[in-house]
Parts: sequence; C-alpha cells; structure tokens
Amino acid sequence: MGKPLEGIAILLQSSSNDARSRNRCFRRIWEEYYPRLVVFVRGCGEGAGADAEDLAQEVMEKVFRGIGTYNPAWSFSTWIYTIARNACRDRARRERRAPVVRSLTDLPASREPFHLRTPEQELIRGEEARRVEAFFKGAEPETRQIAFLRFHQGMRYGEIAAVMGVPVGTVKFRVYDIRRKLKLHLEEEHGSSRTLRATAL
Amino acid sequence: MGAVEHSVRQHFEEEIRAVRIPAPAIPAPAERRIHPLIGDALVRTVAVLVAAGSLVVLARDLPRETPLRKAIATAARERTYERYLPSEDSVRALIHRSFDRRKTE
Repeated sequence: MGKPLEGIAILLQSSSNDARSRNRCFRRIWEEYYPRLVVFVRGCGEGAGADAEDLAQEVMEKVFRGIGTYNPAWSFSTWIYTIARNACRDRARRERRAPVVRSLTDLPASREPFHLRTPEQELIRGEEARRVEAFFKGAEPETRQIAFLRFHQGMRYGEIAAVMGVPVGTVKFRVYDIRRKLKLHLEEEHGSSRTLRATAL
Repeated sequence: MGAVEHSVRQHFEEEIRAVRIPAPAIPAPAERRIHPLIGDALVRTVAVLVAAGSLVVLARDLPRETPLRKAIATAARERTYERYLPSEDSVRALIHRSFDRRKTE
C-alpha cells in the first residue's frame, strides 16, 4: 500500500523543477494521506482533536515543504506519521501553555465531530463499530494512535516505535494490551446487550 | 487477522471514509533556504570577523614609541638603578671596615 507512494515521493524529489508532475504527485499524496492524517491526529488530545483537519493540513504542508529531506531508505508512511506525531506534540504543548477557548457556535458545519451522525447513518453503522468507537473514546490518545498504526496501517512494531518515539518493547506491550482490553470490552458489551434483549423479550 | 483487529480496522476505515477531502493546498516550489542554524553561525562568524578587522584598523592609528621616547625611558630606568646603588665612598669604607686597615697599609 505504501510502496507506490514511496515511488511518488522519490519522483517528487527528482522532479522538483517540473511544476505539472510535481502538482500531480502532491495531489496523489494528499488524496492518499490527508484522510488518514485527520483520523490519526484526532487522537492527539482534546484541543487538537477539534482541529484535526487544520492539523492534518498543517502536517501535509510540512510534508510537501520537507519532501527533499525524505530518505527513501525509510518507509514513506513512517516518515509522514512521525511528522504528524511531532505536530501533535507541538500543538498539545502550545495549548498547555495558552489554552484555547472556543465557543461551540464558532465551529463550522464541516468541523463537527465525526461521531455526530444522523439516525439513519447510526443505523447503517454496525453495532460492533459503535462499541469499538466507545472503547477508543475512553482510551488514551496514544492507544488510539498505536491501534491505528498497527491494525489499520499494518505497520511493524519497529516502525510504530519510530513514529511514537518509544521503545519497541513498549509498542509490543501496548498492542498486546489494546488487543486484550478491546476483547474484554467487546465481550462485556456482547453480554450486556444479550441480557438487555432477554429482558425485553 | 483476529476478530478484534478486524473490528478496529473497520472502525478506522469508516472514519477515513467520513473525512471530506478538501482541495490540496500545494505549496509553491520551495526556495533554497539556508538552515536557521547555519544562518546563525554565518552571521556570528561575520560579526566576529568585522570586529577583529576594525580592531586591527584602529590599532594602526595608535601612537607608536618613537626612538626619542625609547631613549628617555632607558635613561629613566638607569637613573632608578643608580639611586639604589651604593656610592663609591661608602663601598670603600665598607672594605676598610672589613679588613684590618693597618695590614693593608
């Protein structure tokens, strides 16, 4: 999945003078990574979560500007997610120094949190997905990010460790812990829903 | 892939699908910029060189020790030594006192 984009990144580095091919490459990276980055940076704490789209755009800009520094010996996605992770940390640090207070009316329609959906959409969504969402809502931001990188992006432990800036052993333990807790959470939810159904009948 | 992994993957897939992708904000071609640290080091080096150069230029204009001044300084030093040296008479008296005068005569 990441390999063609690595090729594009290399092409981007070599074709810095050709504006048309450069724009085409940027567009491809944007379409591929922008939505993933929005989801990834949502786990960066409350403040950053509200501005996930802004932060993802900021990260993409950093990626485009710093494409010359990308080392093709490393995975392109590891490089991008490391930039995103650092941007998250910077944002969190800034917000800790000067907390941003926003009014709910200031939020434009497109910035609505992802979990606010219409009843039809909610019905369409699977019950299990809702349970998983509930689990991640209560979990630490790092847990969500590690789960995203491991289970969605299929990254290796070493790559996740590089992105998160923690030892490989810690990542292994966190992944094991997430799997265990999520399994428990899903089983509990299954149990309670079965009990509810039985009571209703 | 286990059931848990599958659920998590589905969850994130769904979140990604829900994201609206805006038009890409493609930056203009990056200008060749000097790294801030290198720039800082360069500025400091230039400042030190300018300061050293101006010191050299200023030092050229300083008054130098002329031969006359040198002679005056030497004379002054010599006179100082003379002041502390014992006179010829006192040296002779000292010698006389040290040895028996009658013997020497």
